Amino acid sequence: MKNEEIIDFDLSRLNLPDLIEAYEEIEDFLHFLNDQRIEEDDLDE
Amino acid sequence: MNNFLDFIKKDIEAKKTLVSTMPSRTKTNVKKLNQTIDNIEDKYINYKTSLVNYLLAKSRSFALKDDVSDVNTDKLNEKIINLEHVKFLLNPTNTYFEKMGFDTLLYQINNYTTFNFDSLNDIINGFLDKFQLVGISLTKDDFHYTCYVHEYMTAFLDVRNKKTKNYDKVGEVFEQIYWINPELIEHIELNFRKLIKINEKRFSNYILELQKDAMRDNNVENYNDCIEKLKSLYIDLNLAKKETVNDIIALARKGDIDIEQLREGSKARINAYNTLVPTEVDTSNEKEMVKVCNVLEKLKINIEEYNNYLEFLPLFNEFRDEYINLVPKDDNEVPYKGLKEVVEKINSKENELERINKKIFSGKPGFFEFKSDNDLKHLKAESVLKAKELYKLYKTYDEEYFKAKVMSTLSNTLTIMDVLNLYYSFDYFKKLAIAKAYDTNSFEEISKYSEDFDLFAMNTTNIIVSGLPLFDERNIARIIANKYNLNSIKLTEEALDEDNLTNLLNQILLILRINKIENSKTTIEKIWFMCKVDKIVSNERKNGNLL
Repeated sequence: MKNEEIIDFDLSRLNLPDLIEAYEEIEDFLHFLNDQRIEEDDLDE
Repeated sequence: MNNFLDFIKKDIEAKKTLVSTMPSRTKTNVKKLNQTIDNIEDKYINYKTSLVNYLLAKSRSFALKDDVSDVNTDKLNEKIINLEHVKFLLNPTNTYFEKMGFDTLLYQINNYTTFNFDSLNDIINGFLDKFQLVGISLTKDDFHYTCYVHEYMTAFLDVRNKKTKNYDKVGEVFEQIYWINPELIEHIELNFRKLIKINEKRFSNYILELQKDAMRDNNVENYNDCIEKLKSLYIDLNLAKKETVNDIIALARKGDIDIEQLREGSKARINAYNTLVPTEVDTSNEKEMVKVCNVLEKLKINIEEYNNYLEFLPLFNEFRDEYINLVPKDDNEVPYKGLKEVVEKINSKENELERINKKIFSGKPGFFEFKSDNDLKHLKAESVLKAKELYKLYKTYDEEYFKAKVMSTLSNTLTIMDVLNLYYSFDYFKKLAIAKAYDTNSFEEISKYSEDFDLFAMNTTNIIVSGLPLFDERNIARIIANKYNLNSIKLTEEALDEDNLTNLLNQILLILRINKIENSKTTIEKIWFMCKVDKIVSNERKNGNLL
């Protein structure tokens, strides 16, 4: 299933608090991913 | 079937595990890790973008049409402003002196040390403009209270008449005079007072004409008619200004209302209902809640009035303490003569001053036929001393003037409303009383109290103070609580404690707003959602994610 289909289909099924929660989940996850990045220059080969 | 939220929760869990367990010791590992993170991030940024667009569209779809009532308040406000002006002109309590605005100017000139030169010039011009209004162009020959007043006002009028607005020369003259006569400004004030007295008839007639015009232009028969018309307009205005759902939404989106408090299950909501809604009422029943809200609207007005009363209690107490022993015991009491006596003293002393001034000013223009310069110096000093004595007498005059007004209506049945009207009618004395009651000399503070006082005095919904006797202490908290207990609202005296009034008002507003929303086309949850989306959009814009 394409991502767009998931979004188009499911968002209308979500109630208002769930929509907000979905945003918060994504936002928190994006912060998490950013924190997981490692600077490549700091390491030896 | 999984919805989007369930899907991303599971997916995020899985991705977190993946990323946390990927090796990262070598450069190759790290490159692969970062690549994986980039891929996941791209996907989730796309999710977020689509989601935020959906949130925005959904939030916008909840907007309500504007209420038509907004248009009417402008016209109403204009009518009220006009009628308030008519009321001001027709006020039977005060005279031409207050209606011309001389009392306000007097207060300002009394506080001249608070101002700079520009403001002082404005005050003096203010006096001169008022004379101009009645067709009197004052000249230097009108300013002979002392020779120094004459010298200063000659320079002042010279600049005023030339319309250059450059008062530097006047400032120089002030510098020269000030060290000989530091009370110069006070004596200018006395000169103006004398001129006002001399031209009393002109000012009274001017006001009479203004009154006639105002009554005709506004279709008002008399003062009482004006009051009734105003009351009716204020009722209409209060109805038109009643908070709409759109107002509540705007306040919530601005952050002035915490929308979380209105949601079911919130502590604030539960407390408010427990305090103010009778237990037997079914809160889901619209008809019952309408009745409750009508009562709460009245309670809100009463508490606001009570709050105002408490704010100005020091002023009422000051008034009460000053006049309690002067309340006439019977109808045969001799009328108060204090004002007449001080007026006689002032007239007598001003005559003495005039005799001194005649000696100073008489003689050939520019020359004085004195035996020596010392004689002239001595006379000038004497005139300044006389003017200083007169300044003190005028202070007494002010006290007696107001006292005479009070004594004409003083009785043991005087109400708080009567005191409100008295002070509202006499701006100068109101400000003096405020300074005393609140122990302050700050011009700004006194002006603020004065403005708030006027708003309180003008409020046509005042009902508690209209029957509240000044000289007989009443427990207002108990009176309010008892009244609303009859409506099954179990208010206690403690709930009406001064420190708790703001909290009580907020609880009333909370219930009124909830009821308003629940009987509208929107819901609290939708408003909550709109507020959340606003924050989300703001956050996205802050992070450079333009939509």
